[in-house]
Amino acid sequence: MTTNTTCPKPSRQKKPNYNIIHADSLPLQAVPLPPLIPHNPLSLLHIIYAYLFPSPSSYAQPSPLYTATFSKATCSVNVTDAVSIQGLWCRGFFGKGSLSRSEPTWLTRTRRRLGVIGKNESLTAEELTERRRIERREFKKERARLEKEKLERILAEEGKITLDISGEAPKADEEDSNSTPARGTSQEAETRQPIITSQRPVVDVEELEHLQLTLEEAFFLTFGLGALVIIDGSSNHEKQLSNNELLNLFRMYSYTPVREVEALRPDDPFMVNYVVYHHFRSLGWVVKPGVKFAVDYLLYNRGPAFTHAEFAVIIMPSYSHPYWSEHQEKRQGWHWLHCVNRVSSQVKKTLIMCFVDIPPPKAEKGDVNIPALLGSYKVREVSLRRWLPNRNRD
Amino acid sequence: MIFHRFYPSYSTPLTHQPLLIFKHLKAQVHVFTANTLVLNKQSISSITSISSIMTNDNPPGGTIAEPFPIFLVANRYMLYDVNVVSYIRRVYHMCGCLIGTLPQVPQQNVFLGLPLELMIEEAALLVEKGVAYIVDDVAAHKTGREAMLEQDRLRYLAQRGEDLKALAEENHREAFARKVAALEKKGRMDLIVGTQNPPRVKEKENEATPTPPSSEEPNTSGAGPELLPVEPEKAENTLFSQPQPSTEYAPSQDVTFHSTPTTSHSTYHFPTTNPPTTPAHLIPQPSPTRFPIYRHLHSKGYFLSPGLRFGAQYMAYPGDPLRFHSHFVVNGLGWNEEISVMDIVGGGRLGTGVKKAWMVGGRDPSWEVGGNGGEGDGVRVFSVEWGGF
Repeated sequence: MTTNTTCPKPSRQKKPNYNIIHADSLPLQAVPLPPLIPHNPLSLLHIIYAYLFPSPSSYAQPSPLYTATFSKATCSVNVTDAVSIQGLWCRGFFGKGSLSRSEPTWLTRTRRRLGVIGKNESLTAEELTERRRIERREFKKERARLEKEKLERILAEEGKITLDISGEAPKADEEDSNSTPARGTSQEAETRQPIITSQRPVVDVEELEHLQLTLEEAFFLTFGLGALVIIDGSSNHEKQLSNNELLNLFRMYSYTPVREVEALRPDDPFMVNYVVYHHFRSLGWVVKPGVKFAVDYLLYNRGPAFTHAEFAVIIMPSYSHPYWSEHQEKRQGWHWLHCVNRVSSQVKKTLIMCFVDIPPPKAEKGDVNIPALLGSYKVREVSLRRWLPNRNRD
Repeated sequence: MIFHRFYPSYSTPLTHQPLLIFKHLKAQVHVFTANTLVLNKQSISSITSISSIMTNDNPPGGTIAEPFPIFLVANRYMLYDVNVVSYIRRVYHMCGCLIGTLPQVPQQNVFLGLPLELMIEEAALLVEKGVAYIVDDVAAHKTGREAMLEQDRLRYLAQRGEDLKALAEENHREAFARKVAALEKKGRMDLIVGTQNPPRVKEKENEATPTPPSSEEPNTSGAGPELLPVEPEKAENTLFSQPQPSTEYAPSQDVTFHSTPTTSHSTYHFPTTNPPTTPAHLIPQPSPTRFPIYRHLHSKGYFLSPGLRFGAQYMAYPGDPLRFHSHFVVNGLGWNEEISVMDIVGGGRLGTGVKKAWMVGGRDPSWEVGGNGGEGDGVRVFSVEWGGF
C-alpha cells in the first residue's frame, strides 16, 4: 500500500525481555546433583551426601519462603512483601495487583504520572498496550486522510470537482491541530520536558499496592509447591497456618455467607475449583481467573506476558456417583452455554467444559489426608467450538 | 449448525454429562428430518414471496378469518398456510421460524420453507388474544378421516387424481417446450421438425445392420429419438426409420409427479365448536419466567424471535427483522431469581460484541392490574452494555 510508505514508521517502544524476567515457570528451583565421574569413586559418595544432606542453598523452594496473610474481608490472600510479590509474579504469574489490571504496576505508573521517572522509563504492559492503541488510532486516521486526499486528487483530475489549493492548506492544518491533540501535547511536552526533569520531586512515592492471590493459588503455593507461608492475619500473635487449617478455612470462605466446618460438602466451590486449578497447573499451564470472559479459568501457554490465553475453562460439577442420585443439580440452560461459547469465540479462545466428578462425602476424624481427598475427584475435559460450515471451510 | 435454527425445546436443561449433549443434538436433527415436508412448486414460490408480501399495503393474502387454527404436532406449534403466515407477521408482529427444507435444494439450511413453527409464547399470545385456536393435528387428522363419508372420500380422490394429472401434463408440456427451445438454440431443429436432411450416421447404421425391421417386439431402447415423445405404435421402427415430425405435444401415460398438499385442514379438519376454541388441555403453557417479558416487549411493538443463536432467550427487533437489526438480546428471569455476576459479564460482552444491548427483566408477582402498580404490566427490564473505562 502506498499509505504505508508515506506514513512515518512509528518508533516502537522496546519491550523488556520477558524471556529473562520469567525464566522460571514456577517458584521452584531445580537443583542438579553433583556430576558422576566414573573413574573417581569419591564422586559417587559426593552424590549420596548431596542427596541425603542437601545444603540449605540447594533447596528447591525459595529461601526464605514467601509470606502472605489471609484476609477475611476480601476472601483472598495478600502478599505485601516486595520480594515475595516480585517472586510470585515473575515465577509463575501468581496473583494480581490490588490496584492494577494484572501485574502489580501501580507504583511505576504513579511515579511516571508525578514525574519521578521519565516518560519512557521502564514501561509497564498496560502502558505499552495503551500506547500501541493510540499509535494504531493515529495511523488509521492518517491513512483515512491520505485516502481521502488521493480520491479528491483523482476526482479533480477527472474534472468532477475543483480542488481549492489555496483554501486547502490552512484547513488541513487546522484540522490537524484539532483532531490530533496527542501530537500537539507531545510537542509541548518536549519543550516542557527539561523543566520537569529539573524539578523532579525528591520524595518518592510510597508503595500502596499489594498482590492478591486467589484462594486456589494460595493453596497451590502452600500445599502443592511449599513455596508460601500463610499467616493468620486476624489474631494478634502471628501464627503460621498448616495445610489442613488452610484447607478448612478456604473451604469455609468459598461460600457466601461463610459456612461452618460441619456444613462443608465435597462440592464446595473451593474444592471443585482447586481440583481443576491443580489439574491444569500440574500439566504446565498458567491458570488465571477468567471472570472478564464469563468463564472460570483462562489457560495461558507460558503466561500472560507472552501470549493471549488459548483456552477458556468452565467448571461443571458432575454428580455421577450413585450417592448423588437424589441430588438436585443446579442446571444451566442451553442459551447460557451458547452465550459463554459465543463470548469466548469472540475473543478467539476455545471453550473447555471441565467436568469434575464429585465423590461422596467422607466422615474423617481429625486431619484429612489431603492428597487422598484430592485423588477422589476426577476431572474430564470436553472442548467445544462454535463451528459454522460456511465460515470455517479452511 | 443445524440445530440453531430450531426452537428448542431447549427448555431441557443442560446436563453435566457431555455425551448427553450430543444425544440431544442428534435428537434435534432427527426431529428435523421427521418434520421435513415435500412441497410442490406453487408453495415454494409462495414461500419465497413472503418477504415481498410483508411490506405491501395490499398483500395478496388479504385478511384471514379469525380465529385460525394453529396445529400442534409433537409439542410444536405449526402453521402450514402461507396466507396465515404472512397475516400474523403483518398484523401481530410474529415471524416464527420456517423449518421445512426445499425439495430442490434439500442440502442447505439457509433458506427454509413451510411449515412455520411458532414459539410457544407466540402461540400462547395468539390464543390469549382469541385470534387463534390450537388443534391437535394428529387427533384431528384421525377423527376427520374417520368421519369422512365414503362418497366424500371418492370425490376427494377423484379430484386429487385430476389435479395430479393436470399437474403432470403441465409439467410435461413445460419440459417439452424447454427441450424445443434448447434444440432451437443449438440449431438442431431438424431433430424436431425436419426430415429433409436426415443425419448421415443414421444411414450408415441402416447399411451396417440390414436386418429387416421386426414388427413383433417394439424396440424401446432406441438411441436416437429418446429425446422425443413417441407414440407407442411408432416405437417399433425407432432404430431404423427416422421419427415422424412431431410438433404436437404428446402426453405420456405414466404420471411420475406427486404433490403433497401443504394444508390438510380443508379436507379433514372439522371444528367441533363454532367459533372454534382451544380445548383446555391444549392451551399453551409457556414458562412463567419468560412469557411476561415476551408479552411486555411484544406490546411495545417489538418483533421477538428466538435468540438461542445469540445465547439468549429472545432477540428483540424494533420492526420487521427484514428491515432492522435487533437492538436487544433478551433474557427473562423470575422476580427474585438470583443471577451470578459472571452471567452479567457474559451477557454484557455478548450483547456488545454484536452491537446490541443485553436485556434482563421479569414480572413483579405482587403487581395487580389497576392495583398497586398503576399502568403497565408489572414487568421491569434492565439493559446491560459493556463499557470500557
